[in-house]
Amino acid sequence: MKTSTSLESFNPTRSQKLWLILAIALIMTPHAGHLPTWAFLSSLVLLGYAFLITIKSWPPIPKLLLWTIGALGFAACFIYFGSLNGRDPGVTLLSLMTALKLHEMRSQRDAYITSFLGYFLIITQFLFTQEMILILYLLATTLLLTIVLTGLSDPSDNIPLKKRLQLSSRMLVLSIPMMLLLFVLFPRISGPLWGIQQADDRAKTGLSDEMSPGQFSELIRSDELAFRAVFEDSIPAVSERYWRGPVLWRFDGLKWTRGYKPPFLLPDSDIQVKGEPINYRLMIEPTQKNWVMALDVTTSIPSDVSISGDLQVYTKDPIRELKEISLQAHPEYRMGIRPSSIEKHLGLRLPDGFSPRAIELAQKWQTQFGDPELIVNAALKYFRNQPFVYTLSPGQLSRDPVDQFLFETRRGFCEHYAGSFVFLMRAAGIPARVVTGYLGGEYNSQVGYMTIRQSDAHAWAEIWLEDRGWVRIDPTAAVSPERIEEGISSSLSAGDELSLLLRNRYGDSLINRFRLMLDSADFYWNYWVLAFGPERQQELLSKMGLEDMDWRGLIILLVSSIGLISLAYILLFILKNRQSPRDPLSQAYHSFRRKLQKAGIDAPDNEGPMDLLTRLQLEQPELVTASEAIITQYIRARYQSLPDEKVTNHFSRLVKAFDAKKIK
Amino acid sequence: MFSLPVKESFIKWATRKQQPARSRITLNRKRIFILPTRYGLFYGVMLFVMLMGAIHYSNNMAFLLTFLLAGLGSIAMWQTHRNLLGLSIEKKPATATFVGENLRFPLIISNDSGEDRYALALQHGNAPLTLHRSHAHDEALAYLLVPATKRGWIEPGRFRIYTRFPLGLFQAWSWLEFKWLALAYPRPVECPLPLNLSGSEGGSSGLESVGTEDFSGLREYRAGDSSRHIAWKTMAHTDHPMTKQFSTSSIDELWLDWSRLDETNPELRLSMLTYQVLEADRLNLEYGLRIPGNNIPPGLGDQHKHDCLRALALHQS
Repeated sequence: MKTSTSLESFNPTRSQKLWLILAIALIMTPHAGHLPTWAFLSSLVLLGYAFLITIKSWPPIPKLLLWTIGALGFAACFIYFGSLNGRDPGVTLLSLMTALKLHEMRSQRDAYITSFLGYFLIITQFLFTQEMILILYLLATTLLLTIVLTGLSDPSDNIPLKKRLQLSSRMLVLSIPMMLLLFVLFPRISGPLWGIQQADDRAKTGLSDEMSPGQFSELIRSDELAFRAVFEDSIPAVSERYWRGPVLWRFDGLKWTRGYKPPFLLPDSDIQVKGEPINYRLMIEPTQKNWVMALDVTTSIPSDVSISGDLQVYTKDPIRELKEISLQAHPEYRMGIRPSSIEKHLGLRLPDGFSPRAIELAQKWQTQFGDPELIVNAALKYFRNQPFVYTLSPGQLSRDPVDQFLFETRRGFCEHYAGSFVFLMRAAGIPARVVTGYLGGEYNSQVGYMTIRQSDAHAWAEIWLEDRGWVRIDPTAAVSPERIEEGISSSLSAGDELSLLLRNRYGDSLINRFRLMLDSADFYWNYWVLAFGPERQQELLSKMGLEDMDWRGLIILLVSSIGLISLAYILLFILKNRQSPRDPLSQAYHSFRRKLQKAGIDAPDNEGPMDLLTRLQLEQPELVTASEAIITQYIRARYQSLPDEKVTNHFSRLVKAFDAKKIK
Repeated sequence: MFSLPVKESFIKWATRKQQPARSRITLNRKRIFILPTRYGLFYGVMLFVMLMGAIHYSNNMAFLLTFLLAGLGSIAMWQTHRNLLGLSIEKKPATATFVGENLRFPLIISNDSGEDRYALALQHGNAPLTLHRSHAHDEALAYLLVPATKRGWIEPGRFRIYTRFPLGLFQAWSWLEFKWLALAYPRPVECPLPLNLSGSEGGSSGLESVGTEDFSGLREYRAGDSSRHIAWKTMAHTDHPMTKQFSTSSIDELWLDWSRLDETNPELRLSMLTYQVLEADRLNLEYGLRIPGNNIPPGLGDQHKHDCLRALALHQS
């Protein structure tokens, strides 16, 4: 018994503090990756010292010093980030303050506040990454904080640790169904709720809307996931897996940029399609950009995205979280039969004073062949017949990349081929543009989705022909047809460094199978958890036959489902409490009967022990000696004496030793 | 949280169907109330902020955490309620104490369920709370502490049993009231015992000789001799206890007398007499008590002491 005037006036005990420190330490660990080093180290030192104070009674930090450290933390944050607003400074401050708060633990209230700060620290973790593995982090840290709270609810610290662990895990398990229900049924609105989100300024590997020599070879080395596609029925042929990204019009002699963004496509645009459409759903990893890589050529888009005149798909806001978009494509198409004069003009522009040799060559073709298709063939033949090498390490090109590449080094990657091809076409009077994006994709046939990685990044060309419109020409194919047909790893020469995974990507090795398994798990996680949003919610509901449900309907559905769950829980507990626990004696007798049953001997529940014995004497004479001892012992213990632990234990041993099968 | 009259009338309304129980109360659903604590409210605010963040950033893992914590909160509410549900509380007779101390009203908390109940707090008004644990299928002895503010019968009246187990986010409580009395003795106030060893000379002596003076002599004190027969006068200058020998019985008696106290405040007089009773008992002196309206003949022992204290406690001034 402990007395005090109120529950708040108890001071946190040592073990309560230790659990809290442990929980905060675990919560902070994965923040190491994105806090500034100084902030993480300071938090770590503060945590460690709090631990030493608690366990070794080291002297506590004086209050004045704590305030000074706090003020310094704010100042350092401001100096480091230039602002206290936004995600990064916010999380940095939060971890510093939480670590400081561990040094100010004089009351229950302080302990509760620190726990709540801990919950906030957990949630900020997800602003950085939402990988599947983090679900373990989420559960483990929540469990720890729950253990902390169970300790705080009993200020006398009387609850055995085992009980607290058991209770906390049970409560957590019981809240999981509620979590899932809320996740699925809570009315979803698409964010952001206020203002404009700050762009994530960390460099992301991924396609940019510029192309300069050497850029793609960087991307190719990355195994990182770019996006996934789930196809509804047919999947595109290997050679048609061109995922269209930024279209580049402007060339300044060194670098390709967009230079021009055609107006959004009107409904009566000049696209003619043939054949069956391909319906698919993209799941795009956060890129911080607002363009979408869509399969050529997009013919139908949902309402929240738009498509430009050069058939690029855009989202309204930059993609900051996993984004899901349903699209339709037609692999057989004709587009841009009647291009605007701007497009024609831009498609012919060349920078002044660059690459005289290339211009000369193109003009020679123009006079020689005249017909654009023949000029294209001449250019492709040039790539094929001259000693061009498709390689990740093309060497430095600086002065005049196009001439240098075409006539000197002849070593290049897709961006070199696409860029110089477009240059040649323009010089020969054919409107042309560079298209960047991805080519290929690994199809997981077991689960049914396609993974497109950064290493699939690619660039190709589009030229405009009088009666065919914009036509895709991939000059890389002229040099390295394997790139298109088999993917990046088989198209490169052996000297090129590629990551181990990328090299093994198409084998049937154990590693590869394991990798595919992990990838499938990641896919499911992305598909079912991260991509779940307002649209998916409606889709799921309509699959359940609840179409066009608004938020009111959802609330009603949610409340009634939670009511049902609660009712189930209550019933479960009532039933559990009704079943009074068996006493050890009947438990042992029960296991004796089970043993008989296992040996194929009938021993029903409703048969009394005497009846059982009589029957055994008739039916199973070889068992009688052993059974008789047990049954008579049971009758004596049960009906002829008061409960006695010794007798019960003796009886349990008898039953344990009994083996009906052996005797038989 | 509430102003006092509002709170009072709420309690009246909430307990309108409850009569003070004779001896045993079982906590059923009607008796148990539950509200979030301030930490619970803070938790709710926290969940709301988290939800807003999750929506703002369209962050599904943030949604997962928020919803998991929401589920946890509601399970915790249920568990808090269950922590009181089904407990039986039985009163036991309380022992008396002195004003200024806490009366301890014993209670038996019995738990017929299969689960241990933790952090059960008992509190009466603003008195200190006591925390208890009640094991499954077991009984626990608990005390309700009630400050003894005035002498006489103390009726604890309504008190609370409450718990914040398991997460401290909710507080479940029940108002209990038993027909229950305990006696508070006056607060002892130190004063000298009226021991005037000059025998019958002074009229103000508390010691009176009763019987005839058949004093026959002194002998060495032997264990077992009554303390009343010790020759205190001799002892004062010899340091040897001597026992007076009487031919016929004659007893010097200590009277603790209201009228002989040099004090006018009646409560203070009672307090001084209380002290004297305790002191006389401690010294193992035989004493009697004389207060207006009550006369307790000299005696010894616990029962006698309690009779005297009880008379003092219940004295109608």
